[in-house]
Amino acid sequence: MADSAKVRRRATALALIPATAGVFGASVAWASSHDPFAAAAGAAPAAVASANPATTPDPQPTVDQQVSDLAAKITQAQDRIAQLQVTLDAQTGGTAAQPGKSAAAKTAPKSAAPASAGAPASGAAPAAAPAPAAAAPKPAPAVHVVTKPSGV
Amino acid sequence: MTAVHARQAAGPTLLDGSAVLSFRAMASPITLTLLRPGPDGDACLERAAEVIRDVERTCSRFDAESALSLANAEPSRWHDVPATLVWAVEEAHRAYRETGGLFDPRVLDVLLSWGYDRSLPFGSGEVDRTASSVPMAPLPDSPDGAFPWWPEVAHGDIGWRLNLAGQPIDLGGIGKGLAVRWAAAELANAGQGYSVDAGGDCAFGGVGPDGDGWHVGVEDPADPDQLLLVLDLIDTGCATSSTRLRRWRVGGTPVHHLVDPRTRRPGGDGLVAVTAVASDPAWSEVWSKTLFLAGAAEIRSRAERLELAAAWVEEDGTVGTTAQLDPMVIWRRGDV
Repeated sequence: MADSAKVRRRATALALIPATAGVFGASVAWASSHDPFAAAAGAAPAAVASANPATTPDPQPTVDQQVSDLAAKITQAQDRIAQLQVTLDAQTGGTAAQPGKSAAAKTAPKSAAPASAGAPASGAAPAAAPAPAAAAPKPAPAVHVVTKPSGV
Repeated sequence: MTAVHARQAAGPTLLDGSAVLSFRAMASPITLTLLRPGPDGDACLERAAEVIRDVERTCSRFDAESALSLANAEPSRWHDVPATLVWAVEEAHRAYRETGGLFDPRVLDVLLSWGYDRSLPFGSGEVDRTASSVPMAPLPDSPDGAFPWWPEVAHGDIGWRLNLAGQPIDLGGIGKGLAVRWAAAELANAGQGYSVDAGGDCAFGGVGPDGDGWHVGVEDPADPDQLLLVLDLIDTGCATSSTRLRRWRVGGTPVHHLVDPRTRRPGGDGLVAVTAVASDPAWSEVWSKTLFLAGAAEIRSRAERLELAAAWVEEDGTVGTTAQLDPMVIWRRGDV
């Protein structure tokens, strides 16, 4: 009789081992799927992804795509700024980057606007950017009268 | 924008809806423009032209029969003179007072002593004169350096009388400015706008042919075919004083017509030209001349102290402008 009870207890204990393991494994899986740092680390939890994709769309891939798009736009904008800086520097003979120099101040001769003036601030000017031509001076508008010394 | 290309004409010419009258007076080409003239437009243009010719007849020192020449010949006695001369002398005296004597038409004796006793062919090349028989007047011998000028005028039964208080005068610059002022008054209500261009002394009424102001170029004294600035002017006058033309040599010494009454020598060290914009064309002339005499070293401080709208060109080509002028500048050549 004692042996029989002992055998039953052992059988019960053996049967509880996989059940306990199953409960533990399920707990680990649940915790992993709800880890708030998982998204920041870029890890897509497989447990959640496979939980019920049809009824619970995961926002994480969309956010990642937006971040990627924005990063690309930032890069494009930086490239565009670099291109514009090259053009602006060429048109102003390099004075655009001198905020302390007023328009009324005496400037370099009009022929002194070098094509290579004004390296881009970020150094990221794309190779495909057109080489800026020497800026042509803006012609005087038509005038109605010219004031000049008298006595001609 | 309507380009005005007036030709020499006996009467007004209609051009792009503007009546234009061009002629020559006071040693300068004169152009009167009336925008969209009213029914009396032509008559107003003719009156404006007559005003200018009257000033020339009355105030020229190069015409021996002018009222000014007759008064200059005997400057210590009373003369019966036309009202035009009285008004011109009174305005010159006001300018003399308000500029602290820097505007002084009595520098005529200096000009005469340098041979500028007649119209000289400044436009045809270098002019060389020998010193005339008129001696250089001595500097005033007074403790404070002042040399007061008190011309007298009186109105009697037969008209105006004038006494120049002993010294001949030159009304050339202010005379032209006054001619422009009075001509502009004749055109003020004759159309939708006007310009009076007397070879550097100008007046503008209204907002110009295209409604965005009169576009006025400031000549480069180093190259008359080039402009330094373009101004946008509405209802104002402007004038330029420059040594580009009226400069000559006396016994090899270079001189010009802008005499500093303080030194009785050519003034405006370091400057070549000054343009002033003031509401009245005669005072534009007064300010351009007296600012010129300040010289390159002092012109900015003087112009800003007086809050004048002015531009100047230094001998090295540097162009300066005051804060009062800057809003009027719509174009500036790239190298100035």
